[in-house]
Amino acid sequence: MKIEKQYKINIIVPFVTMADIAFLLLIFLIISSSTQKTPLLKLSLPESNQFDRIKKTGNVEIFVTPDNEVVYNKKKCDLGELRSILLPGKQCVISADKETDFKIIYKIIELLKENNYENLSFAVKRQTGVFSGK
Amino acid sequence: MKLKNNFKLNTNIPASAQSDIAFLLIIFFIVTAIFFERTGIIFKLPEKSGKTLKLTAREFIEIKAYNDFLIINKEKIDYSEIYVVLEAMKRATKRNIAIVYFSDDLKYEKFINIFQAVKKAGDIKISIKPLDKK
Repeated sequence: MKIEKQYKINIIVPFVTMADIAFLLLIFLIISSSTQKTPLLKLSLPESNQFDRIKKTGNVEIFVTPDNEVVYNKKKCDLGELRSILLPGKQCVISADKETDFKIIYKIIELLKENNYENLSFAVKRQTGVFSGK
Repeated sequence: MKLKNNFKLNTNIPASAQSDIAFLLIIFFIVTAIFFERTGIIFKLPEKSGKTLKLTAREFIEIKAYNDFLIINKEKIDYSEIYVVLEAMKRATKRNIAIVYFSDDLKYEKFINIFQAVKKAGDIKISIKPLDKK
């Protein structure tokens, strides 16, 4: 006696979902590219419970590493070079490691004043809980 | 007798659920994007052409900043006390200008502690100078 197998497996790939997957990947790439501006710098920002939100656009960004190296436009430079290449602007964000010497930051502030910058933001990490100055 | 298997195995992926997943992921990305928002202590820089004020010792709060301690108007204090002392001094003397003299080796993190206390005390104008130029 011969028993026939009659069930069939439908192997069609649902193309309807492909558009969704492509859309999700696109969103992921947009978000990840906008959040990682300086992937090579590992800065440990100081904590503060007094903070404002930094605007995402129109800022000139200066980074200072714990070794007191200044990074501007993804290039390491000294203060003399920074003076010559600093673009004019209104607001600047300084993202410096908490172990950076403040005298370097002070020199950058003086430079910003010379270049008629109006607002300066010191990037900090949010501190939760009660005020505790270290 | 011939036996037949009549059940069919449905292997289609339910495409209607994909849009729900996509929608949930979009919500997740939007929410996490808010968490990535950058925070900072924002200060207004003085104008380059701004006039210089001449102050007597009674008109401002003098802060000398070292890595381990602070001296506010000749009183040695710890960093954990800065806000309380500054607030009390501001109320008692009605002075709303602080001049911060920083030591050569002062770390950026320590200065942020002073900044956040000044910001929290409110309505205090701040001037920064190196201690060796006092």
